[in-house]
Amino acid sequence: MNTPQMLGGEKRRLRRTSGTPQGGAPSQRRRWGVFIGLLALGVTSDVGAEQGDASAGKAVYERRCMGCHGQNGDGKGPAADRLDPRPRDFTSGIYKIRTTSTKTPSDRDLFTVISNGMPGTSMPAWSVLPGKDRWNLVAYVKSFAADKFKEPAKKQELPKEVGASAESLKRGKEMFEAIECNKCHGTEGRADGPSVPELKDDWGNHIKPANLTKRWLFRGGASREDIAMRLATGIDGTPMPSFIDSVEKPEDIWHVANYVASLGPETPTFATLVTVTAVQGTIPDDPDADFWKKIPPSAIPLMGQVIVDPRDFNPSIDLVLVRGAWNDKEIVFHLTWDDPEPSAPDPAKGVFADAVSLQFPPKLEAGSAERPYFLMGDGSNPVYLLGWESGKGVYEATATGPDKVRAIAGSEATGNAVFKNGQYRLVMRRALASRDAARLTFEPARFTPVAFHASDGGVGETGPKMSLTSWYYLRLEEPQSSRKFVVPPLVTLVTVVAMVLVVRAASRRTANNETRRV
Amino acid sequence: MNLLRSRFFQAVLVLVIAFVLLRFGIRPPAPWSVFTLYMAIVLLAVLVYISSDSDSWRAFKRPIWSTLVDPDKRVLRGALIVLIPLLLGYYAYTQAAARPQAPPELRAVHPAPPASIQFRGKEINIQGVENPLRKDPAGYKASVAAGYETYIRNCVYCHGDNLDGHGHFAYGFNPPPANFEDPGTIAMLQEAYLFWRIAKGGPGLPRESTPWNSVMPAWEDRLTEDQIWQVIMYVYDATGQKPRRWEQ
Repeated sequence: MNTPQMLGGEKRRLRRTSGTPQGGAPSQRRRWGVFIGLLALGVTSDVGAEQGDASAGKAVYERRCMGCHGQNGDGKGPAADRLDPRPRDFTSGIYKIRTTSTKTPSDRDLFTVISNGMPGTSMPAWSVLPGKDRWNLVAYVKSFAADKFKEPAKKQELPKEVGASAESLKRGKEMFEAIECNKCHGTEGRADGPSVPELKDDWGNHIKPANLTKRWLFRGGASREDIAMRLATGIDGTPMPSFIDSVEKPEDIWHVANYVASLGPETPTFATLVTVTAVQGTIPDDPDADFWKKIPPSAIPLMGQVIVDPRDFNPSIDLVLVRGAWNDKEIVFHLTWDDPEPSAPDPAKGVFADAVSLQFPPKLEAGSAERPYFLMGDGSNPVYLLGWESGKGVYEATATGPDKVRAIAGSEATGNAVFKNGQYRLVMRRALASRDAARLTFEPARFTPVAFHASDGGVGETGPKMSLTSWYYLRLEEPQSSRKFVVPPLVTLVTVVAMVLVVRAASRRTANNETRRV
Repeated sequence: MNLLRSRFFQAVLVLVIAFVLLRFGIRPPAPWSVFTLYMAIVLLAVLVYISSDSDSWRAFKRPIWSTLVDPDKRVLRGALIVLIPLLLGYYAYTQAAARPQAPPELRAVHPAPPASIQFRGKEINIQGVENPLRKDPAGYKASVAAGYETYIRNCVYCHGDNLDGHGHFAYGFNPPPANFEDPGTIAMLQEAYLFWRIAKGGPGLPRESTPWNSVMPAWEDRLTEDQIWQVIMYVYDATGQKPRRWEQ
């Protein structure tokens, strides 16, 4: 009688645990309740799953999924050749994300992937579709490899959860190296391990390991529970194996998951404004100086350039952290970005220099918000570039289009880059004032338009084939003012005086009135 | 009951209710400038109401006056003299310590279209033109299917599979890509308007919509006239929106 209610409770629990992995005692009790309820119903697995209707799913599929996954479910839709990773080939019955110990995912797993999408790929979250449509899709998608789904799915049990204590992280780091996660994912998790060039998926396509410092792009979710599950099941169709049997003790799965989760934030906070800190004295040239660590970075997401040829639908560099400092003479930028390896340019092999640049208008017009065309300007409105290229160093240039970049003669910009464990850190410095019209003169407290470009020459990015942003704003912060320590006490004092005066005046008037009355 | 009859309390109550309604009752939240304007109007109305006759005005003033002068209100008076300046000081601190925000990007969302455009050397009228593919109802399905293919290969990166403006590259750009599911976009535009926007993209925006920061490419470089009309058919078909008709 009360089973539907219990199922409702179970659904709520599932939703909640997807956010916080720790299940409390009450949900434990509810789980038992559901278990007993389901025994009565004769159902054995996949709580809350609905039986989908494959033919109804076909209609939804042909409207929503076919463009990438193809009419026959073979992952060869019209969009497929531009996508990396490639769309799933459903006829293979191989799925990346599962929570089962059997080789195929449960219906619930498929439903979750359809609903949440796969971050970092072209698969969007289809939670906009009604739940019924999504269950129907599950049924239809399974029908492309029906024989693979004959065996009922069994749940992959995880060892008892271990919290993320300091010891756990230490043990996790040891295990990370012992089971050779670093071979692909790199020493610090930036997808720069020595095996990276050889990695291929089951279809022979090149495949990149996950950058473990960018958890928000994990295909199957960013929580510790998700990571532990991926470690336990592996990711089918990719070189990522299951580690449940190769760790020393089962709970090591949790230690590694805790360590991986400690490598980066769960979600990034993107900046809308880049603030350049005002300092007194010298600004260090060393990108690893403590000075730079104290300045909070602005995270800028970069997107592929898809306007002019050659287009870049799958850009390599998707994030740049920007810091800046200025004193009375100079402005200095500090950029940090991940790149699997420093490339030795060899155009014959399709390998080019790694590069990054900051784009500014050459001049700040008072009272005008107009900017040159965001994609490196045009014939009538050029842009000024302050950039860096591996093997060449820091340069200044004028551009009137993506393939019309001219170096500015007599550049005095200098800089220094270091590369370590899959990450570039770069310092670029320049005089605050410009000596000619091609370069921008930086002014404090002005909203200065800025845009960013980056290319990973190692994967063939060069020229317009790069990642970029549209215009952002940059602002040189005023020298540390004491305003916030002076103004508030002053306001308080003035108010107190005013109030006392009002009270005095009021009581004097009352006194006068009373005297008059007397 | 006594409290409710007090003019002063009534005035404060009206202001508080107005504040709560305007601040939390409107979705999406009204801009601060509009909010302060409304609050000023409410305040003015309250003042007019309580000063409408001298009895009411006196009743309103009485509690204020007594707080200022009555010897038995000395503690309350002292507390207010400490509290109000501290609150104002705190407000001044939040204002002085606030970090500057990026200036807002104001722009005309739907600038007026030109009468005609040059499309690969051919003149195409925009004013008064209907989608030529709609003249062939038998070919509707084929046009939508072809439009889907063009969309998923080209437009999906910004405008998204769901046509809601949440494509892969969407969150990197400001202004964000148009959300076709939103009734404020394609549902209030003619198909020829879309043709103009797709063909000419960001670089083709007129002066009145400056300063623009649109990253929309000019698709005349890549798509044919037919392909653009097909994509337009697809975005209306997939969202279930109806294009606006030209006024006769």
